[in-house]
Amino acid sequence: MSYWEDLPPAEDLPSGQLASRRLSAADAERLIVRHWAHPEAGAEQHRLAALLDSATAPPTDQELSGQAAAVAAFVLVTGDRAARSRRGASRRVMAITAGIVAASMAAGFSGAAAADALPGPIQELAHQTFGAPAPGPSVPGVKPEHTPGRPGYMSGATKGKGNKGTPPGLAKKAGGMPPGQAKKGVSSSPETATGSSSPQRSKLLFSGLTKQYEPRHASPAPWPWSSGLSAKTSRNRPSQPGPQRA
Amino acid sequence: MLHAAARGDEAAFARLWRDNQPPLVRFLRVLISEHAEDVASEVWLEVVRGLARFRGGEQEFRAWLFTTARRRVIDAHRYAARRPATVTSDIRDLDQPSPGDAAAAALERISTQAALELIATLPREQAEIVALRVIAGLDVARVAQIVGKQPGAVRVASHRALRALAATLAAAADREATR
Repeated sequence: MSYWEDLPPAEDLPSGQLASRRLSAADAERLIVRHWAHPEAGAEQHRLAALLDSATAPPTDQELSGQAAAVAAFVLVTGDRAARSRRGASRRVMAITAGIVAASMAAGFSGAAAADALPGPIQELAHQTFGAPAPGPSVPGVKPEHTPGRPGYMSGATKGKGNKGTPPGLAKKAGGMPPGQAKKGVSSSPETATGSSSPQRSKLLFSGLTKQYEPRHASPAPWPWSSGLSAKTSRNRPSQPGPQRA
Repeated sequence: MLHAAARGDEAAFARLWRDNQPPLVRFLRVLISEHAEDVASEVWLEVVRGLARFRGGEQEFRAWLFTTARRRVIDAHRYAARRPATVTSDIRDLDQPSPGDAAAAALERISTQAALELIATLPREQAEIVALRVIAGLDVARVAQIVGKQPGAVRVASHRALRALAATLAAAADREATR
């Protein structure tokens, strides 16, 4: 129950008491809230009611004269705020787009590094930086588009058969045999004669290539893997029996 | 209306301004007779800047508006105290009506300006409470919150203020009767 509801109603009081008594707290509250005095109340309450009523009289034209300026200020402030929010929204969109692009690039780079599909130096860098697989054997001097793992690198005959390191020119030649030798019926490896493919075949191909590109008088091999691989394949070649000989 | 104005609706803001500008200017006239319109403009500018963040109903908005106005009044009083304007006694007497004159004017014309001048003759704290309760139409709890007092203290102050006004009006009426 509010304070106002606790007040005794002025209408219930005797008229003589109303006229003679001093302004009570209840009367003051009633005057403030309603600006009203009982008709039989004292003159002071009527004067007060008139005073408070005139203090809350309807607004004059002079009091409302600044409306246009106030609305203009409102338009200025809210328009400026709307423009700022639009600029902020476009900045947020740009930041989100840049983030998505950066994340996509990072994911693509990581995926390519994990699949050992990056160019040699970059793959080596990825390997040293965040532990991506070490770069596989590549051919020095071969153009970057022949890097293993590139789309279109493998021919249809050799695709998926474990000889990723074979350059396309050699893969097309049915085992890397020069055309002249193929006519003579001399095969460079046992597998090429039968048309079969195996990891050994790709190793043999690499051995031929690495021998071709090896520097003649270089004492330490610039690519340790190439000398090791060529030595390994050269060791394996004579001892491996081919189906033709059998 | 309030939410529309907060979203930037000009017509809604114009209605809000028309509803609240008259009591705001009258409140300021009670507390600082000079430059009330200028201070009201500053108050509205501050309100417009914060309107988008405002949450609440009409009573809460009015309480916020008059709280802002009261802060501006305090700032204006501080500014005046730092840079006092030296006025001659004659001008001061002419500028500020005595309670008797204001009461007589209120009795004769019962104009809004005379009523505000009479309320302004009260002690500052009482004048502020009466203005907030009568002119701004705020309840005891909100006025207590604005002026930083207990609700009981606000009721006592408003009661004393009305008794003082009644006494002033009675004295003015007696003077009118003896003429």
